[in-house]
Amino acid sequence: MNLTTKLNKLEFKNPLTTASGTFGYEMADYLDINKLGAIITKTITKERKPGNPSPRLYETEWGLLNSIGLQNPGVEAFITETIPHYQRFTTPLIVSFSGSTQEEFVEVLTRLESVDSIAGYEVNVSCPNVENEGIAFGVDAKTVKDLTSRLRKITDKELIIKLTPNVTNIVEIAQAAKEGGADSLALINTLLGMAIDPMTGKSRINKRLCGYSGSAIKPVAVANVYRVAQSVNIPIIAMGGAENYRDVLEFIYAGASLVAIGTANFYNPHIMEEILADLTKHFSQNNLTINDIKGKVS
Amino acid sequence: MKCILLENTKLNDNYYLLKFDRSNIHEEIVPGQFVTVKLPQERAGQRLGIPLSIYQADATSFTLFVKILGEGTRILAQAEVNQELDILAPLGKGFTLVENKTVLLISGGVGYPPLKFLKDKLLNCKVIWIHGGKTASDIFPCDFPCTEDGTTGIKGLVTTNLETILQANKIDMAYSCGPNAMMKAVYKILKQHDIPYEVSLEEYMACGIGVCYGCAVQVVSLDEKPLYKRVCKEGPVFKAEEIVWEKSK
Repeated sequence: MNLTTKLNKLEFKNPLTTASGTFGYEMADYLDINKLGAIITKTITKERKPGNPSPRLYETEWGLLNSIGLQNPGVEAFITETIPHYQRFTTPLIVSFSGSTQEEFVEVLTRLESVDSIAGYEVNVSCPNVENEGIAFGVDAKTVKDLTSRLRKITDKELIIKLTPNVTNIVEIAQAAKEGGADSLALINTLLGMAIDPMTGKSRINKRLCGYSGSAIKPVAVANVYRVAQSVNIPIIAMGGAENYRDVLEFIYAGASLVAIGTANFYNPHIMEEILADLTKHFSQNNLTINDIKGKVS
Repeated sequence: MKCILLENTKLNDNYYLLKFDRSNIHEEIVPGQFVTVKLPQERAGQRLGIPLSIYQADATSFTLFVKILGEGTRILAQAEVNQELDILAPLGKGFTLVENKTVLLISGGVGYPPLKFLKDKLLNCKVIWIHGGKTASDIFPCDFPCTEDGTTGIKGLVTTNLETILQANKIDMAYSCGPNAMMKAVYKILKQHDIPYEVSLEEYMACGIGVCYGCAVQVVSLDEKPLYKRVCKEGPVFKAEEIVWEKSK
């Protein structure tokens, strides 16, 4: 039994990672973070972002709507206050970051490059929650290529571009990221969503338009991972509604090298350890490796 | 953590006390902290844990005070003795405990339980408790019950007699849990009397453990940008002067 997997430059002891924004070191009270394949942090930006007014959340039938607004302390506070919390873990740390201009992405990455304990970066070009951020970068292939190539010049570490599903042709964006020099891709970010109280007409979420995640979006995520994996030769971290080991297998069959658990962490903060135990058992009983099934949908 | 239900006591048609075994919970539980409880079976639209404040806790058990507000709490109230439920506890930061003081408690509706727990933990304090609700079934033991419909106690809101009570007693410290509008109105009055005031807030939350940043409350910022804190992590108890009340619901 062998659960090891890799992206372009990084190797991992297993394919389980955390979806950005659904995990923090606070979860060390609930699970052994050292057992995870990788950690992907909540997105950080150059300056402190206050986030959006509440309500920021609404639970739907089989999913979750959110509009957090990338609340984060900014890159300097992240380096001095947050990073030390992660240094007690041996799990590779992938830092998610974003910016409102290309220059800001460049500045944040340049600053993060001074931190040796960071293994790689996930570039959030797709968050649909924030006005004029994410959307503007992630939906345009040329912008994604330009941005990726600018960032590529700054770092030799694993550079992962996270794609939004809210585009006409995700394959085109994936190709652009690869041409810009991305090592790997993460997909999908949340779908664009909205909910209204039918009795009052009031939006459930303060900012109205928001991100939709959870098990309801899993088939959309599987389809996007499959399409990108079929067309672009680049490692993929898959996310979108995975909440048990069967979902993880499904994403690997679709072409993923790693699978992130997101919204499910909110239902159960112990869930990643439970999934890992089930996955280990499955791989062991069937004497599998990741490569035996990766992309082998039939 | 799995917690076994020891007792389920119906207080009236809308309120239940659920007492759980706490052998899987090793941390100290203090007044003002809360828990999240998952429904015994996952339901569409109700997979997140339900946040509930703590009514009582001792070495062997803790008790939740549940008001039926919808389908989730209705199912919870029907939980059977010996049933095991998934509970995260204790969560958040509690009230500041004082000794040898005159203390004012002001609760509204389902804001009652954390103040009952607090009252039990205040040492050598003179406690004056105003509790308000819509109608008689929302009222629980206290010094000054108030109902909006006048079915029991004083007809009116918790603020109706507040000035009179403040004139008659020198209050050192005040605590609240209840609707934001109530606490906002109370704060306006207590501020004029310079009485320190701690409030326990409620907000929609996903994780309950500080990860999702969904349960934001706007607090006073030191720079030009707004500042939000997490109700589940930095709260649910805040000093009243920290809160930007005009932005609260």
